[in-house]
Amino acid sequence: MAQVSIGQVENLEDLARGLESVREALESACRAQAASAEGKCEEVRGETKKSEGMLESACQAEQEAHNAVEEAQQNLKSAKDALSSAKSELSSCKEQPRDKDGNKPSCSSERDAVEGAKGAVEGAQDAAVKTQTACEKAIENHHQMGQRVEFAKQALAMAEQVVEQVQTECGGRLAAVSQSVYVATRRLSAAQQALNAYLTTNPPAAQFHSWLHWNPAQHGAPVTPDTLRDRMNLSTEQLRLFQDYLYDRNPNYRNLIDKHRDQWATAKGDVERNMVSRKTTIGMAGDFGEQLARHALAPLGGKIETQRRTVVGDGGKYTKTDLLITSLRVPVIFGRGTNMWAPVGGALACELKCGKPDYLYKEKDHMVFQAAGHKQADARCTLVSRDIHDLPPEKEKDLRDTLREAGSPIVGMLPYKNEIDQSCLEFIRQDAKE
Amino acid sequence: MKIRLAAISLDNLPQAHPLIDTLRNAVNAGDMNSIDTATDKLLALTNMEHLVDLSEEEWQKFLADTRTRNPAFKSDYLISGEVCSQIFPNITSKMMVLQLPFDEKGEDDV
Repeated sequence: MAQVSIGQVENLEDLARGLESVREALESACRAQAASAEGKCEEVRGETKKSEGMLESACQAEQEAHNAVEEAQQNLKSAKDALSSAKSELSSCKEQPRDKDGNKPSCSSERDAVEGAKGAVEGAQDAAVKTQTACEKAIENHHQMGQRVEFAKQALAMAEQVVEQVQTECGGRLAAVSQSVYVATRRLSAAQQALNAYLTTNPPAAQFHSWLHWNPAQHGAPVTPDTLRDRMNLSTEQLRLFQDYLYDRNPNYRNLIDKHRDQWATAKGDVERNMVSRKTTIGMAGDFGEQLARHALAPLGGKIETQRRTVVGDGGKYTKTDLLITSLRVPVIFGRGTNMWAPVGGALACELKCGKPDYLYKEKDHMVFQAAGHKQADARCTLVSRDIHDLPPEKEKDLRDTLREAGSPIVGMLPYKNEIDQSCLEFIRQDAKE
Repeated sequence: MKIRLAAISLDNLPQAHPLIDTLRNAVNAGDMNSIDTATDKLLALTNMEHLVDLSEEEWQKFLADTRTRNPAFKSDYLISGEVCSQIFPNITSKMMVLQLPFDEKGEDDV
């Protein structure tokens, strides 16, 4: 086996692509996270500035309140002084001697002055109380504004810390992913070089590589039945390379192979080996035949689906189409007759059957049912193993006529069931031989 | 899959041996067509009086019981009749028993 296989290089390509998309997703998430943290920081910075402005206003308001208190106290003192002097004048007035008629001095203006002064004192006292209350509120407000600025500054520090954390965290993770991308890209590049070197010295592997990367649109001509038959009938060596490829690329297939290899290796006798062979062909040959058809035909279209459900009739019954290839890149001709070709952009639907002649004939009704799921495709066929040619002529004709009438004609292009079985059995015995 | 256990009379042994060789070679070559052909021919040789078709589970149990008594037992196509005395109580010591896996019709196709 080659040091680097085609499948392993494709695995590395997948890995490198996966890592690259992880990096892109991480970069995008980091950008969003950083923008969010920066936005929050800016918001808190604005809040801090606003709070500082409010603190300055509160400080000024407190100063003004103190001034007002002082002025009110001054006014109160002046009012009290005025009252005292009014009272003194009233006393002086009352002490004056009576007039010639024996009447006491009226002193009404002095009395009025005292009353007025009393009112002024009361007013000044009220004003002093009010200014004092306002001053206390201003002091409290000043204090609160001071606290608000403190909180805002704390919040700003936290927000700035978050920005820094996001930058550090994202930077670290991006660096780690970038490193992985770098390592994977270097490994991929080295593996591609090793593979290219291997392909230049190993023509069968190079041939298999070309088969895998076939470009049917290269020459612009329609793909004919001969080409399709050739693509599905690989040599024993090419089948073996395809087994290697599936083993590398498909974990389920690899598990299946490993299971059967283990059973073969631990079998203690002819009967057990016979049983492993039978189980292997039952468990693997179908998968292998489907994968072969899939990889042989996939390059024809832009999209390939397997097991697509199509509801048939009104009873909720459905078929699962084995192979549906859409957005064809080139016209495809499967054979003569209706439903046997599809244009560029069209679709191709296939049912796949790989089995001995009797089995193929026995599956006639099932194939007819499956054909109902192909009706939306331009080209439709029931792709069977070449064992169809070994049916008695009247049965082969009956089967072909029936499927043609059902709209999905038989195309016997898949390898003989025995060839597929042999390839699978050869592959599970590989380790035992080595 | 089933496993046929069938007594092979001494008269039929000369016919069975080459078919068993063919079957063994076919298994080693991974040639299922030849496996099926040799299996069909061997099934035709089996004695209807001493014949039983076991399910895989039943045969695995038979194998496990046999290996409990004889850990080195190999699951050869032809085994001594004594090994199967519990399955065929009337079997003679001169008879051999053929162990033959076979698929029920269409089981191996996909």
